Amino acid sequence: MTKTKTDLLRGTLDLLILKALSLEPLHGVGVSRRITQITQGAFCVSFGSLFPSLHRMEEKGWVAAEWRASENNRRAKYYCLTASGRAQLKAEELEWHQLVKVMTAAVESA
Amino acid sequence: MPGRVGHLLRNILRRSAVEQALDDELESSVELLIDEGVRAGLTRAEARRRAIIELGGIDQVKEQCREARGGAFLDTLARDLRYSARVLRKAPGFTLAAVLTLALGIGGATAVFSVVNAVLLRPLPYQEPEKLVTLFGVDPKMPEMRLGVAPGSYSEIRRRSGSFTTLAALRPGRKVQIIGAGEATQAAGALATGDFFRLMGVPALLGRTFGPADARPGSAPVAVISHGLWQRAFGGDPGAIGRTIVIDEAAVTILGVMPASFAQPAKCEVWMAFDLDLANSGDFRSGDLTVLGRLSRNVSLMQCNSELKGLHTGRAEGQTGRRVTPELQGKMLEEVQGSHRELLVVLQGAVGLLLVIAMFNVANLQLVRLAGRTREIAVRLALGATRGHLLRQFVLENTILSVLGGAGGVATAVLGVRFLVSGAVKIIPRAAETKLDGTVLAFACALSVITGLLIGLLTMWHTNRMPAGDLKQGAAGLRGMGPQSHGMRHLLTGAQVALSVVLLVAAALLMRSFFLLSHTDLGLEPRRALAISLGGSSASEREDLLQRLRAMPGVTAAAATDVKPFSGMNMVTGPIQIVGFTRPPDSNPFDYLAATPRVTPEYFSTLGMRMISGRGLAMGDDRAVVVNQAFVRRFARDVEPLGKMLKANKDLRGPIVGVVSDARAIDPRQPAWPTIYSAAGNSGWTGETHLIVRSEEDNLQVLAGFARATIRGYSSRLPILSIAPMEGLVGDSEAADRLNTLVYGTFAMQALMLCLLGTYGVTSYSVSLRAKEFGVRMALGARRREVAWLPLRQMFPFVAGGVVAGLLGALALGRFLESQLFEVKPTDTSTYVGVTVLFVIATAVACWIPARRAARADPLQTLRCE
Repeated sequence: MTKTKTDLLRGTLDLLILKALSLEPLHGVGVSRRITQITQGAFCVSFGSLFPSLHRMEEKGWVAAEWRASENNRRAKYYCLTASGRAQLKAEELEWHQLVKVMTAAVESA
Repeated sequence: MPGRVGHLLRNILRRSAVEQALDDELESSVELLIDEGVRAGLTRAEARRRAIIELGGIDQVKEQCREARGGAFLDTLARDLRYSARVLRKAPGFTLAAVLTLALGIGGATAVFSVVNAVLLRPLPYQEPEKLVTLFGVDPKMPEMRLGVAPGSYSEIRRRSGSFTTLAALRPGRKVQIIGAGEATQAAGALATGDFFRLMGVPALLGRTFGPADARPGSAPVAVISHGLWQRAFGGDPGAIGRTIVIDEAAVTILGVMPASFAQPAKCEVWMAFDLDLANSGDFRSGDLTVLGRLSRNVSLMQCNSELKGLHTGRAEGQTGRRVTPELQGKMLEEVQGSHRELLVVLQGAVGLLLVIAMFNVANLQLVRLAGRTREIAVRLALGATRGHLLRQFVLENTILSVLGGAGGVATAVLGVRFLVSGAVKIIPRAAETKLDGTVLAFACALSVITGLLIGLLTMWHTNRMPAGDLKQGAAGLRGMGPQSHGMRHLLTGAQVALSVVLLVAAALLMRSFFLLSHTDLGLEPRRALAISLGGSSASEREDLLQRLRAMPGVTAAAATDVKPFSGMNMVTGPIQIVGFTRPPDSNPFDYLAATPRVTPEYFSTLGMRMISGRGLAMGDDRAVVVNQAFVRRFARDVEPLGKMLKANKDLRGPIVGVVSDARAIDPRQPAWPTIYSAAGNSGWTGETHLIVRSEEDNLQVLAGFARATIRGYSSRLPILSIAPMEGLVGDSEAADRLNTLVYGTFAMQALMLCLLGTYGVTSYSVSLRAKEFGVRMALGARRREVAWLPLRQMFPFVAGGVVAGLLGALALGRFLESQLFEVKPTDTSTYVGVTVLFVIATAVACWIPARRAARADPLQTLRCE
């Protein structure tokens, strides 16, 4: 199972976005901040990767978007998880745990 | 997932709205980032600067969003199309040449396909034609010949076979005289049993068809006529139904008219109901029936045939143990009717070859152009395009070329079809139904796209393996051509040459065959002679007519016979009994038959045949016969034939009074049959009459008119079937050969031209790329002539290889052509040698011209220009 670097990154990015949105709806900038927060500063997503992913997920139906007023009364496009988005989040979490188990075992073997 | 489709559609159809939304989102994001910065204590200007940096270049972000969008590939496709179109527009010479070349290839293939589609691929116009079978007798000693079925066999099969739902029998090949429909006319007719129309499953166009009730003995005689006869004799009048006409002196009611596409048996115009009564069912000898059957559901042809075998074996043993009736076998009707299948399939193959040659030509040109485009490719790669993308775009470019070529090809095909059909229809009646319908257009489309793809793949195949270093070299301006590029080009050239050689050999063989055919000594003089076919006539009518015809201006002789000249059909009889002749014991009886035409005394002189010995036939000759040289060779080799008594059948027995020269009056391709000429006189000859009128004039039009008037003036009752110059009849019998020659000749010429153009183009272009190299060589002291021969010397091994491969290929494929050739073997050495020489010379010239031009250039000039 050889993924190229971008593939791996995109996979983890999707998971991070879904996780970020799992609590409450956010706009694009907000998602970026939340990801930085939940990874405790390790990941800083560029907008050039974030927005394409968000749009892709919107087309796949995992997130839904609507224009709303932000805290400062600015108009912004907010994303929120849909039901299938939540299901996808669960599935990807499971996959991630599985991957970690496998890789850990592989790395720690003799 | 409806969501995705919805988004896809929106992305495509409402692009500007989507783009606007993207703009808005990014703008709002910038504002949010600015707010963040301000909240953190920055000035607005500083916050704005940081925000833009963090966002990372609005255009880049937008581009990445676009790529991730659903339907992005369509954008790329549109862009690639625009790019390809620009590239092609910038090279108009090449584009035009490529499109024309492909139009030629695709057009030819489409034209032939439309005929193949009409004749071979479309199902026969009957109900469930794939279940229809024709039964015929097979003599194990001559498995090729299909014999008719005897009434006894037919009744037996009807009674005992379980393979068929319906069976019907036809007695075809009857010429009937029809009166009461305007002018007396003659028509080809057939007797059909009651189940025939039910079997075919085709309803009448007008009126109705007959059924078993109409065929019972004692019921009123009825007939069904064909569309053609309806038009010809009744002018398409719907009142023809129910009319009574006289067929062969019996009053018959017309029940209905069949649609134009119904032609079973071929060319039949009248179907008359008849009943194979029980009295005939014991008759196992006279095999003159054509039997058709519809297979039951779940019964295959094989099962049917094994059942037939079983049925038959049983009966032969029961009788005298000696098989008097041939065994019956069945064949799918579709197969039997697709005669000339071979001719058409081979033709399609040949035109396919032409298309492949055209394809190779364009591929070769593209390869050479590619060498000049290395800079463009290098730049694009440097700007970030992937190899895959380049390949896609290149294939697209070629697909555009071939689609344009295909459109041009369809236009060409329209003309080509007309030309093909006019030649083919004489041999294959069904060809008249050819038209450019949906199937044919779909074929042309598919062919265009596939051709484009193949060309693209062919040319790019080697580029994928080209190391990046080559491309960078190109970018730096050193325009050489990598070794791999040469390899593919030479392979293509060689392959083109090979295919062209195959076509050329085929065409040359056919032309030779046709030449030989049209120059065979027929043994008679077809020029300046008119052939008139009449319906039945009596002896006195014939004599009167002949006298009147002889009185016409310019006529030197006239005679009559009962066999149509050059019709390919013969009446033969056997066994021949003559003193001094016995048939060798194990020989095939069919080899010892003789033709038995009846002729009036002036026949030999009218046709220009010579008497070898004895005398011709005279007025009073009742029993005397004249034989030809072929007869003597077969039956009277060691005996003096004159004066001997000859017995051929119950009508033909008498002394041989003369020997006449051989004449190929039946089929110009076959040597003359052993023939016994007997006097027309008294023996009831009421069948077809064919008059031959010899004239001094070359122009027979006027004479034909006179003849028609003379015959009409004599009797309005005699049906005139045709009046034609004899040469025309010969021509008709050669129709297939002429068609083949014309068509293959055209293909071969096109192939040769394509090859030469391709060679010329490739050499020309490569020479121009190598102008610098030539300049250097000449500056270093090489003579002009040496330099001029350089490209040819390099091409030569591949051209030679191609020629050899082509000759071998022609040898291998030659047997497909065998049946079409006349007195020429497919391995005819002189043809092969001739083609080789022609090709080598032509290619040498094609290579030499551009090279000479380059060599003429002043080396200093060339070096300076670089």
